[in-house]
Amino acid sequence: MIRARNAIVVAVLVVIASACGGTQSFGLTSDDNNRAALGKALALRELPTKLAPRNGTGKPMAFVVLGGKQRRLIAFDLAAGKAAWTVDADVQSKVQVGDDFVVAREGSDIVGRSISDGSVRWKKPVGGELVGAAADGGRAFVVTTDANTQKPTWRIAALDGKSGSELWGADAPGQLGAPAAQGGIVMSPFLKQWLSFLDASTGQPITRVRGIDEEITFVKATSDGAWFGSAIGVFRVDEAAASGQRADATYGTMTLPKQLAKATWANDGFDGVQAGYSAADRTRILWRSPGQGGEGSLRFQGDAVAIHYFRFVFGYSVKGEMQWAYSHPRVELVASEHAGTTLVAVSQRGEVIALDPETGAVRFKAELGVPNAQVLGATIDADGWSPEGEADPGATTVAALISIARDRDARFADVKELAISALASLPGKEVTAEIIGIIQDPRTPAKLRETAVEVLVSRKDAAALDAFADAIGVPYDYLTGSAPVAVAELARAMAGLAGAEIDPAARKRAVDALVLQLESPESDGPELLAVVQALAAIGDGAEVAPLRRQLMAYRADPMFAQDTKLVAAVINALVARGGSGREWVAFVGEDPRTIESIAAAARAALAK
Amino acid sequence: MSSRRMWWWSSLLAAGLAAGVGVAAAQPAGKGVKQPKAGAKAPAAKPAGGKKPPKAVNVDVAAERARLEGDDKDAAIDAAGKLGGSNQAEAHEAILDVLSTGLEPGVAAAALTAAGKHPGKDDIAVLAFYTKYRDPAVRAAAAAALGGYEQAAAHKAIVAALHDQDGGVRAAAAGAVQQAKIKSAAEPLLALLAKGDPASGKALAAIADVDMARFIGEQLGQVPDDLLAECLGAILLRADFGNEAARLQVVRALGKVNGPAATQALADYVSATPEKPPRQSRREAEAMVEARLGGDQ
Repeated sequence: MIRARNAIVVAVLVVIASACGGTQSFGLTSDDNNRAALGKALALRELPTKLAPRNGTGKPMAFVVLGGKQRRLIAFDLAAGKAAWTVDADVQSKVQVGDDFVVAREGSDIVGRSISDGSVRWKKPVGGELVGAAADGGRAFVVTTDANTQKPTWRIAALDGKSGSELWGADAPGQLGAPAAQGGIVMSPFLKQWLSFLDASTGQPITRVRGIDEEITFVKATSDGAWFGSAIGVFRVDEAAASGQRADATYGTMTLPKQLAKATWANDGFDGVQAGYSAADRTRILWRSPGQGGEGSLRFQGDAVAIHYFRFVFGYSVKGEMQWAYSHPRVELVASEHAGTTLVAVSQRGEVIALDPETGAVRFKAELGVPNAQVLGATIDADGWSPEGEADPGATTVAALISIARDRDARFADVKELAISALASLPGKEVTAEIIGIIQDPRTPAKLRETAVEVLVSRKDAAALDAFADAIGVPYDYLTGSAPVAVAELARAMAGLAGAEIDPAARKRAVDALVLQLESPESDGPELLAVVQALAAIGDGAEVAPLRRQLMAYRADPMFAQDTKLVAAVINALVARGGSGREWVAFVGEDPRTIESIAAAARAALAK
Repeated sequence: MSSRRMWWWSSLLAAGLAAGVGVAAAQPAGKGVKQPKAGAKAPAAKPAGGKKPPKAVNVDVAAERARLEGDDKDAAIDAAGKLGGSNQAEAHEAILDVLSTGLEPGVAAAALTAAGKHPGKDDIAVLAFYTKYRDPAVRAAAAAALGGYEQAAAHKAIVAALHDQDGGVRAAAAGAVQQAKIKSAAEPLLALLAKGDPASGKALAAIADVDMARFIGEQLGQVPDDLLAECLGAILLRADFGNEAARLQVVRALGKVNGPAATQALADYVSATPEKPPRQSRREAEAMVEARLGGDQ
């Protein structure tokens, strides 16, 4: 009864729209940005009362496409943690999920399969290039283009999910993007400028929104709402969207960290490559927002988003603060989806994981059960799924960030930098020890090492002085091949601990380690300078004797005299401590055996 | 001993950098440590290696010290030599005092060499410090000078110098091992031998006992032939090495080593060993030499 009434109302709206702008589904002139028409059309949508998968079984599912000589399609039941069915299928596009069927391009056909067992229900030639598809209820919606003609055309067609027969079709004089469908309405981006709303049962135009501030490159539907936008941000499909302007619409965006700037809000519906599973699926902003209600700008769920970036997922507040991180072991995550209550992702090797959107904790982990799986992509239909387990307690944010920072994949230099920077704000001497490890790792790229050093300096982690001592207290040894690494950098960080409360035993160990390097003949000028500064900062008097030895032993050495910064550092440290250190500086300043430039530096320091 | 030098030493001791140095050296001046009297003999330390003390030469210590501390580097080096050649305790004290308060590296090297001519237990902290000096020539001079000392602290510093990155310093330390017969140097010397470090051969030979000689002989193929031959040959030339069976073992090990160095080592052993009483080791060495000289070797 409700359906019938809705159909009548839609028909009336179509008449209204036609009266305003003609009967063409897509045209250059139309009744754009009609708030009333949009509101009425959207009111007709039949949306579930709570988050739910699109498929009619109600089960959270992932439809996973495997590569290889013979491609396969697996329907993986997330709740059961096992495959519901697996079929050979030459899937060439993203899989779209309807009520009781799935549809995808297979070879040169559009193929509908039963959702219950994967069997083929129907096949239909694509008839051009597939731009994108959608499914809703019992219908599939397919956008194709005939690019081989002199005047390319685009077409959207509705296919019956049971038979594949064409229910209606509409041509467009300009580029159509991948559609979305929801509750009896089809939304189709047109020329990146408009979002056309069509009656899903007839293809008749209802209304359309013209993007004024931004182009419209995607539209997507979740179980609780619909969304459109561009690389810049997201508009909610509601009455306010009729304005076409950010300020008046329910619009949201956030500034991504520059290292993750590749990530997008959704697939680009005008990029034919993204009609299939592609690398673009591996750099995705995962977000949710209430599909209806609320006023003003779009509010992301939990005031946060997650960013899937190849092997990694980061939780970010809308203010741009990293809240958590997840690093998937070894292989990339090829598909991801924010299911409202959980983040679901599938890896290249066929691992299926679910993360808590607030904490990044691994709530679920399973495998497809296919040896040596090579996953090309997956469509996740799991809205509302909420596994409660703690599938990998060891997968902490610190562990993830460290794993990212130490990752050997040269592609992720920027992300590693981001991870190290994020470590700066995380407490714990274990974190400091890991950063030291990264600095000392000879495989760490120079730029990353610089970032790690800056982070280490900024942490001022006096509790980790033991870790500094361990790292810096390594002697040069020709026989064993041992040599300290990054002495100057570590000493610089230690120098930043001046004034900090330091455990006496840790201080002694640290001073001993610094003195080892101070009196090592292999230490070079920058290292010695940093070591002297560190000793002055944390020595608490224990630095006087070794610095005095330095000054006395080298005061007649021209090489030492050439390093004016080092000379000044040694002298200033002794003068600053006063007492006997100052007396020795006075002696050096007066004794004729001292090289004059050193003597002058001594006198100058004493005169301050 | 000047108070300034005592300060310096005590700081070394406090830092644990001159391990094993006598406690007396850590006493500040004026607190139980007698200042040496003018004209007194040099500190009575037994020179390592059983060498006789050099012939006494008296110098004008004050004048030479002034030259040692002066701006003229050549004169300072000359003064170091003169002070080192003197048996006067004041001369030795002057060298140590000046070393303790810093010298131009070239002069320091000469002063270290001079200091080592009259070993005294109180010297070791200063000399050991200089084995870590930035200039490798200074480190080498310090390591070599320590070869004249029999104290464990000196030996420890020498063994540490065998780990030095600089080949010259390692060679000087190896020479010091040879001089002082430092058994505890065996491990690093064997490691140096394995690395083919030329400094290791003679030093190892100087301290090798029968078991070590066997072990060295087993390194054939692991160590450059010339170095192995030098080491084994030097063992054979030691009058205090093992009995005839042990020598025969070394000769046979040497016989397996290819190259002219091995032939020369065998020949040297034959030359250095009297024909009578007849020895199997000599006979076999002689046969090996003849075979090699008659063939490709």
